[in-house]
Amino acid sequence: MRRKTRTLLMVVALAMVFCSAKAQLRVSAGPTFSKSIVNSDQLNSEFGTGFLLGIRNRFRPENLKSLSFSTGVQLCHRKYKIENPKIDRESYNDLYVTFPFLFNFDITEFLLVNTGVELGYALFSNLKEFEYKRRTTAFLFGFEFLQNRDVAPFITASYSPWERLDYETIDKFGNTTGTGYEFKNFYMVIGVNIYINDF
Amino acid sequence: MIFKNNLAYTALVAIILLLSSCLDNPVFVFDPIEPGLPIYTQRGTDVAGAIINDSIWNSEQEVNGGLIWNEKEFIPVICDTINNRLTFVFPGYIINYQNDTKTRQEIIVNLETNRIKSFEDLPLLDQTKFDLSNQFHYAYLVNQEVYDKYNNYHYYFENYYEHLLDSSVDFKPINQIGNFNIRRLSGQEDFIFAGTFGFEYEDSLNIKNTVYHGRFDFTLLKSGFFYK
Repeated sequence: MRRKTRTLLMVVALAMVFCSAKAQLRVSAGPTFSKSIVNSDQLNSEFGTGFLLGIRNRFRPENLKSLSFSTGVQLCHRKYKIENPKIDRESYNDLYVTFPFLFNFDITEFLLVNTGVELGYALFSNLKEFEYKRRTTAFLFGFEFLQNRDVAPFITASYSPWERLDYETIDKFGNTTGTGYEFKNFYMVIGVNIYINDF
Repeated sequence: MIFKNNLAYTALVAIILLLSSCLDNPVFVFDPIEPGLPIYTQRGTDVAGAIINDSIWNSEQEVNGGLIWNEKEFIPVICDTINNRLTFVFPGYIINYQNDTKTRQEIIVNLETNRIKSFEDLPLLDQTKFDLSNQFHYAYLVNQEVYDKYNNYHYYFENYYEHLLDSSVDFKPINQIGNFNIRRLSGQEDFIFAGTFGFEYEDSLNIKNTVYHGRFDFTLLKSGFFYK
């Protein structure tokens, strides 16, 4: 049921991007600063730089002057480090396709705050084994500046509270003690929206 | 033109076969709590790990991102139908991360069971817990004596194996406590053999050995099943 809901939301997002005639279309691009949040004191996690490229649209219902709704589809490359002397690899790359769903609120004519959720799927990841989840759901929060100009800077933070790896923990004599959870996705993107058309 | 197409087709098939052969390589998903060990899985990843005398032991020398031609570890199962004993041999290495060296180290698990008479009987042990403080089951590390005598066993495995089968070198641990849990032993032709273990014992010199936080997930092959 959950998978069907996710698929439906993605189809709706794509349909709104490509089929809507009364939408404000824009191309979004910028560098990402990503980190994999770890619980284990054995692992050291550090930020890395990737990129984001996507297309978004924005709807503004006529009776709601300050509120608008955004969807889109974007490629999100995230690079980060997970370090431990016992692991050969240090630098990790993920390439997600993501579908953001955002509520936007105009604070001023030139400043917009937005929040929402993002559904994603890892097209590529160095954490590629079957045990790592490829799907992700994250919460978004961000600001957009100069929103009514052709080129508008924005900053967005994405945080997924759901870990990518669930694993069984065992005690020294091999008895099950529970489930461990590790690796949460976090990234920020500082980029620009280039508007293709206006409302 | 046809020849060229056939050549391309053959090359494509060869590449697919090469790539599919890579799927048989061990899959080491590091444990975030102790990254030298794999997490516990039960899908035939062909890896194992434990902490032996405070050192990391695992079946795989390359952790997360290793070479694609890593060989699959061979898990011998020795069935003694007369004495109702079943022996599993877990090959692996003690890893020294400071100087990037490894030392061969086997774990032997010797269980008493009258349920296993052939390879096909092995799934009868699915979901079975063996109490190693019980005098009928024991587990231990291969001692130096065996290594000294057969230090080239890796290339002449038969010699080593025959030696292992020789009851004269069987070692019975002293004051042993612990568990050997077979969590999954099932399949069609090859069996997935996964479980967890942990034990401690004293050897013949009264030196305490500890094998903690053990986990394994292998594919058992009929060619690896031997009768004593």
